[in-house]
Parts: sequence; structure tokens; C-alpha cells
Amino acid sequence: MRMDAAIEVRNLSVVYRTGRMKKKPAVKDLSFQVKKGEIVGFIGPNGAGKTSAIKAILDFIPLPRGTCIVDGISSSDPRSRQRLGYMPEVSFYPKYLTLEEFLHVCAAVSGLPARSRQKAVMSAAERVGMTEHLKSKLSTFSKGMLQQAGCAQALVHNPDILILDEPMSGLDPIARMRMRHLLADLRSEGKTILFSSHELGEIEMVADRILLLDKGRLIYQGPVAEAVDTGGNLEQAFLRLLGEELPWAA
Amino acid sequence: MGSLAIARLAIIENLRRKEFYVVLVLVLGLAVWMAMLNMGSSGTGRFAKDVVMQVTWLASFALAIPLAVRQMASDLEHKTVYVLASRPISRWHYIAGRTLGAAFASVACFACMFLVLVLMMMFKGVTSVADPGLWQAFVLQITALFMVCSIAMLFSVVGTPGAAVTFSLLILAIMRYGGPSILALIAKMPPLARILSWVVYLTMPHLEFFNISQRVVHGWGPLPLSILGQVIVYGLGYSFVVTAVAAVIFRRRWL
Repeated sequence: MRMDAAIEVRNLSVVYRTGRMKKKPAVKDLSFQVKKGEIVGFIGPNGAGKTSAIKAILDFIPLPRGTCIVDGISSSDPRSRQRLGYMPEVSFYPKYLTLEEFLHVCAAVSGLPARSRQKAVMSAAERVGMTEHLKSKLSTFSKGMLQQAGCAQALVHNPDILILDEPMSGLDPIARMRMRHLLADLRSEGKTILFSSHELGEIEMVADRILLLDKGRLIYQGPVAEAVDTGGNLEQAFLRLLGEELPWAA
Repeated sequence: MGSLAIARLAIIENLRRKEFYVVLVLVLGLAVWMAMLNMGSSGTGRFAKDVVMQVTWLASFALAIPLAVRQMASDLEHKTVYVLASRPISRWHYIAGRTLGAAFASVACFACMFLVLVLMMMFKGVTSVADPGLWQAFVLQITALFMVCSIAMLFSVVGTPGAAVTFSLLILAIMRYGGPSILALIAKMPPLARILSWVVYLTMPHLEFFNISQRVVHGWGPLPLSILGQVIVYGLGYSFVVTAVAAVIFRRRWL
């Protein structure tokens, strides 16, 4: 593994069993790297294999083929997640907890010592603009607020690497803007971010590089500017790379 | 530390659920019933003691099994497992934390029930706080709750929540109350079947070891401490092994 790679995926294949003797490949021979300090947008149509690849990096699925290395450590080793924060796509969190209790649990499970947890919780809540909701139960949160709580839990142990699965989904324009600023702040702090999204406009604004997946294969990786340099925007480049007809061209 | 934080999460969850308060109402009902009971004869006292022990035992098991099964089922169904599993903990720590949380919450409920009812029995003169058998029964039931929670957790890792509750209850009923009948049944089997049945029987959780209610009710005196120690070590060891097996199975599971 190259020393400047925060995440390295080599020849990863993920195959789901869909029934007796039936298998569905979700990711096929995927290889890529995310360098330290880089923001990489992970894009592709629904079912392209983005979430499966993320799950493999996080060791949510045992790897049948390939390797995932995070911060120089194989993803099957729990220590690979020491410096990693993850925000899941679906923001379901323990509803019976207040935001403060939830962040405390996350900090404790991440191995933060008890004396520094309160400060970490306050800092994470402040970063996502949720300080006034710390004492509220998660059951009273709207979808957008849960998304922000999800972001706070990913940041609570101050990780160097962040994997964000659809971080903008469900956010109102103000929260979206705040998230964009947060990503910019995290970039200036030298954090590495891999985030999947269908919001191509957001990716274009925030990401340094994109990884485009289709039907489990990586069909493009490179700087955002390079993908859109033939004119238009990332949305148009996305359709072109996928070989799709522009809807308005018909 | 990760396991304990997860256990704490489970305890908070369960103490904030309604079931805990349903159990408290049950205990209050029993306490009122005991208060109204005329304890004039020793037979009535024994009867009251027996009812209290059986009800607290059964209620604690009935609470512990769904509680332990729900830990995993709820985490997988609501995807809350992602938030915890994405942290630097192994699946073993995760399962151990969930099992400990379920066991601690069940023990807290059981201890509340037991202490309220023992106080009421003391008030009515049925028992004394100095009865060592009573406290041995208390400790053994706590150990049994750890065993039951680990078994329910194992079933919840391999099956659906409904199946996990059913199989856990089945094993509990067979092993806690049907032990002697099983032995009689095995003795009547042909040699090969007898050997196989013995192997299966020995690997089953021997929950009957933890039931000394008859000894307490009839005042037969406490268990020798060496036997008590062995039974506790067996119970905790069994819980550890079952939790480890659950962790190995969970390690292979796709989240």
C-alpha cells in the first residue's frame, strides 16, 4: 500500500446470495485508492455497488475476494476503524436516547477516555449545529436532524478518515449549506473523505475526485474538473460516462 | 470498554421500555396478595414462599428472553448496528456487550421483584433475611439469567426473533423443569441412541442446577459452598462459551 493512501481497495468482489444456488454480483473486481487529505465522491446509479463497497471497507461483509486497507490496516482488523468515522445512508439511531447520550455511547465505543468524552460530544454537536438539541430525544428529530446527528456521531472521536453515505439526503437547503461548509472545514483540517451521493451538484462543488461505479464496475476515476472539461456539468458528464441518452436530447 | 458501553446502551433502552413497569405492577400485585394472606400456619407460609419464587423466576425468564432476542433483532432491523459496528470493536465485543446489557437489565428487574417480595415475606414472618438458602437461590437465578440471555442471543444470531424466543423458551422449559424425565427417557434407549442422547444432554444448558426453590421452600438448608461455587462457574462458563459461539456466527454474517 502506498504511504499516502488512506483507503485502498484491491480487486474487491462482492456477491450476494439471492436464493438457493442464485448469486448476484454487486461489486466486480473493484480497485481504487483514496489519498490522505482528499475528498472523493463515490457516484453511480442505484444498485451500482457503492454501498456494498463501503460495507466491505467497514468490514460489514466478510470479503470473499479482494482486500480493503484503511490507514495501513486490513479492514478485517477492528483497529482499522480507530481513525475512521462512518455516517450510514439510513439514519436510524436508538430513538430512546437523547442526542447527548447517543454521542456519549459512540465516543465510548470508539475508545475515547471518559474524561474527554463530554468535550468531544460538545464539539461534534457544535460542528453540525445541534448544540441546542443535545438534551432532546432522537425520537423527536426530523429526518434532516437525524442526518445531522448521524454526521455528529461520525465526527465525535475526531477521525482522520470519514466515509459518508449520502450525507446530503433529507437535508433542507440551510442544513445542506452547513454540511457543505463542514466538508470544506474538514478538508482544511486535512481529513480524508469518501462520500457517496446522488447529488451530483454537491459532489461537483466539494469533491477533488470522483469514482464512478456502474453495475459493480469502476468505469471512471479522476478529477472532477477532468470529467466535466468537455463542457456542461457533472450531471451531463455522468450520463455521458454511463452511455445514457440525455433525456432532453430525444 | 466497548462492550461495557454497548451493555450500558442496552440497559438504558430496556429500563425506558414499558415491560419493566409491567413487571413492577406484577410485583406490586403479588405484594398486595401476600399482605392479605393469613400466614397462621407453616403450610401457608411455604405456599406463599413457593408462589413468590416461582412467579419471580418465571417472570424474570419471560422478561429476559425477549429482551435478549430484541437486542440483535432491533439492531439489524433498524440498522442501528452500523453505527456501532463501524467503530473499532470486534463482533465479539459487540455480541458480548449486547448479551451483558440484556443480562444486566434482566437481573435489575429480577432483583427489584425479588427484593420487594422478600421484604414482604419478612414483614409477614414467612422468612428471615438471614436465610442463606434464599440468597443462594437469588445468586443462582442471576447466573441462570446470564445463561438464558446468552442462549437467546445465540438463537437470535442464527434465526428470526420469533424462532429465537420459541427455541429459548423450549430449552428453558425442558432443561429447567424436565431434567429428570429426560434422564429416564435416555435410560430406556438402545445403546447407540443412548450414547448420542447423552452427548446432546451434556451439551444442553443444565438450568435445573440453578433451581433450588424446593430446598428454600421446605427449609432443607443451604447448598454447600463448594457446590454453589461449581454451579456458578458452570453457569458463567457456559454463558461465555455460548456467547463466543454467537460471536463466531455473527462474524460471518453480512450486515
